[in-house]
Amino acid sequence: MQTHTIIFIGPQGSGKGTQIERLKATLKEHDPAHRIVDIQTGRRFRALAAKQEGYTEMRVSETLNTGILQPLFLSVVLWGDAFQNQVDEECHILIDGFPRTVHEAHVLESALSFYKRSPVTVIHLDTPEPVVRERMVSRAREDDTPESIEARLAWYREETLPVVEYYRARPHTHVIDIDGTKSIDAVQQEILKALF
Amino acid sequence: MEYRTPYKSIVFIGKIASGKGTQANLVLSHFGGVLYSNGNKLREIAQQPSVFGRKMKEVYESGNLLPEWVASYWMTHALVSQHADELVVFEAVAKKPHEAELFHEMHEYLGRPYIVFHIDVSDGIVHERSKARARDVVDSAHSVETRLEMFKLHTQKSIDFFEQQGVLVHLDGSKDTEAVKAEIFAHLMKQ
Repeated sequence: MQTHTIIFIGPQGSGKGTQIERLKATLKEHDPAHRIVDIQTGRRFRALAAKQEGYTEMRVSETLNTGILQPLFLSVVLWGDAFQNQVDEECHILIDGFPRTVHEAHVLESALSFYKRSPVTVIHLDTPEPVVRERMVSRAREDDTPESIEARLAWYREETLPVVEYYRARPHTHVIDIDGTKSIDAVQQEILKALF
Repeated sequence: MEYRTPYKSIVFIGKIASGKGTQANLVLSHFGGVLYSNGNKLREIAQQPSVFGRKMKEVYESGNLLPEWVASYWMTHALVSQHADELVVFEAVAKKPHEAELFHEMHEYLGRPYIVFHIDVSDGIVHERSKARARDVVDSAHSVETRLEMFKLHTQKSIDFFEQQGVLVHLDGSKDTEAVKAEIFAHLMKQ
């Protein structure tokens, strides 16, 4: 089996985390020979904020609740660590939480070409804002306040959606648009159909 | 330490063999702090038997600049996780303009005042000095040429960026070590 480099893009609450878990299980079953490196910066940010130790951890913790996008440099240190220590040319990579801006997509390019990762698949979980709002209110995570939800949605619209367009124009890249309002099972089926 | 400076980060930028390392060490021995050098780090990682180490060895021997994600990752890691509260002297950092912007953004966020010294030398001096020191494969004439090209193509833009931020000091690197040092120390102790 060829190794996959898969970038999940979708607003918070679009079900990326759930789909990554399911895809991991499928890959493990069908291709036990290749390692799977799963890099989720959102989870890493929350882990960093929870430490509440140094100045940076405190700043991350403060901004997590305001919905402000964490600075690019912090995102790079979180995924850079995984790329340096876990990635090679022979593993599957599942990415969630970055690139959040076109600039970050450019930084990621230097890592993808460094490890000769080609082709790249982008799974775009297209989910309308009213659906995202509803889901985020119902899951009620500590950092989901009405203000932070709106701020993150605005960031997503202005900064991250252009990343999907960036990948549409990129050579050797397959962008799969999936209707994120469908059930978890239906979304999973669409992902598997497109990948295998 | 015998001297104090209000800066938390001190950056040396300049062509190969411009004397960055020498001046960085002089600052460290009089002001304290830790050295951060992508060059040292690259030489160290290039010895490792891992996939990453092997690929970094290729980068090192080719004379090309570090991939942007590696430069950004190492620099951020040093500032955020390793030396958050210390004086850090940077040698060979922000060689590409994006890295310079990142460096600036990070310092604003972390509230660390910084200063950048550009040690300016002619290409002729670079060739002379690297031929004389011949540290390893990167001091070969071909590698030196590649580095000079990279400097003009990328690093000059970083220098322009720092100049716009009002944090840059130009120094004449053709002067002797003591004269350059005196200028640097005077800037560092300015209140």
